Amino acid sequence: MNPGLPCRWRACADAPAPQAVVAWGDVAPRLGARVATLPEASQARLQATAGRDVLVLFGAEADLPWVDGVAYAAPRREAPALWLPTLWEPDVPLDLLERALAAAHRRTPLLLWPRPSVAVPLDRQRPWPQAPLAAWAERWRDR
Amino acid sequence: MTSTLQDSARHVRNGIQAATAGLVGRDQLAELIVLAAVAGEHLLVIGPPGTAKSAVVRRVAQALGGRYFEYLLGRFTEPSELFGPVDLRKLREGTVETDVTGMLPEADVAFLDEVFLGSTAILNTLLGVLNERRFRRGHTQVDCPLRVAVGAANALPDDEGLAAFADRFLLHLFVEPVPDHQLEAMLAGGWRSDAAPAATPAGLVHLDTLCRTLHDVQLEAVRPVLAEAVRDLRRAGVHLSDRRIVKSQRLIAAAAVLAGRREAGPADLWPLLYVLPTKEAQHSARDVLKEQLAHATHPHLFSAVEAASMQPMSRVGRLVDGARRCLGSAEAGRTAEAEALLREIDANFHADALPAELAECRRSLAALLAVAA
Repeated sequence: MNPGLPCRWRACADAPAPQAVVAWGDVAPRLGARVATLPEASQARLQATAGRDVLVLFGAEADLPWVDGVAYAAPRREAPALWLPTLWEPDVPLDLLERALAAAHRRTPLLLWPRPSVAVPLDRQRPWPQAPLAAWAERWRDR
Repeated sequence: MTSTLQDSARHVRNGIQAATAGLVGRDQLAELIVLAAVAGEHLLVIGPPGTAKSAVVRRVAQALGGRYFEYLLGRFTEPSELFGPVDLRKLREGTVETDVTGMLPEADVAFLDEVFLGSTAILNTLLGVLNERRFRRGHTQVDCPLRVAVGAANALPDDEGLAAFADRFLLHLFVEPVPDHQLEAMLAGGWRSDAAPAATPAGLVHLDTLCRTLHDVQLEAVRPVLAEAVRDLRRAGVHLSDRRIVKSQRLIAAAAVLAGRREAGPADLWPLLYVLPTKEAQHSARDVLKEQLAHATHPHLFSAVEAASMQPMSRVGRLVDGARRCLGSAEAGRTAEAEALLREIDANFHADALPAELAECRRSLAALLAVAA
């Protein structure tokens, strides 16, 4: 968990419908390669953002691709700017956590993840066809 | 004998599958029609027009076999349109007899659309047919073979008299239009199902086997759980009439029989949710009975259980069934289906908490996609 945000994670009893697919580490380039094989119309319906270790794709549930090792994410009703894994949630009131994180990071929405314990800003999404794929691929290679 | 019971349950399940092929998101309705038929009860479907209600009932009736009667009621519908005309030959002899040939009193499965628009005369006669399986009109008294009647309406009636009539339908199902994310599947399925041949009737013999077993079902293990569930509902302000509580046992027994068992357990409690008469009551009950419904499961009625429980474990049966069908299929579209199943599994289940059967299916589906890549 991020320093200054002492909370534990618990299994989510009612997993929400996924609205994003998240790939960490070695899974990120594999997910990218999978998306490249989708029909153009399907690719156009996906939004994407990436970090040094992660690729996040947003879209309707039925459009989200699968490769072995990905996880899925969605915001919760009580904290629409806080994206969490569908299977896990922090054991604190989510609306308060959302406000605390927004104040600490000054960027919203945020993806909060338990392992690795990070908060990923999601405010720079691009449509997949316009994503800087070569730059992202280089970033993942240089990890 | 038990193998015959399981065999019949499997045949009926195959009938449901054939009946709902291409009708996206309507498995729950088909499953509840069959549950009601085995329990000897009736089903009321509430929802907007154009939600494929009549198509599902027609196809389930086709799959079960037997005689089917369907009618769209209106304010000016005459009793003779449902029950048959007065026999003029008999009338000349001085008796008022109804010729019921091919009409509702002879049907095994009936679908009555806009059922609350029926006149008092129609609804009173219908009560006899629904409750006692007996048609009475003038000098005519006929035993009806009716297994299940499905009534449909856009909303529950406010009128007290009509509400009492609605109460005769033990199961209440609230249907919604197909959600946005399933529109493509609905369009493709609808196109395919228009060209698909009608289901081969499984024959009422299998349904009869299940109906005959109903009263042999042991309910001792589920009765305390049912009583506790009713107490929990009452504490939460959700009330059921004594009659509906008692009759819910028929549905619980029917669920066990449809699973090929002669003993009902806590996993068979889920039909109680559909006995609650209003959408709001059903919604509250999902929260109130969360603990009791956590282990709800059924080897054939996946969608009905899943919608009642709305908890991950209730999805297992459907996912396993879907995975097996996908793995056994030779269709070109099976990789997309495999990907959808894997997405649903990984979005809803922790890897270390996957039931063994589902974990095996996941491995096979992943292997299928690896080969296809």
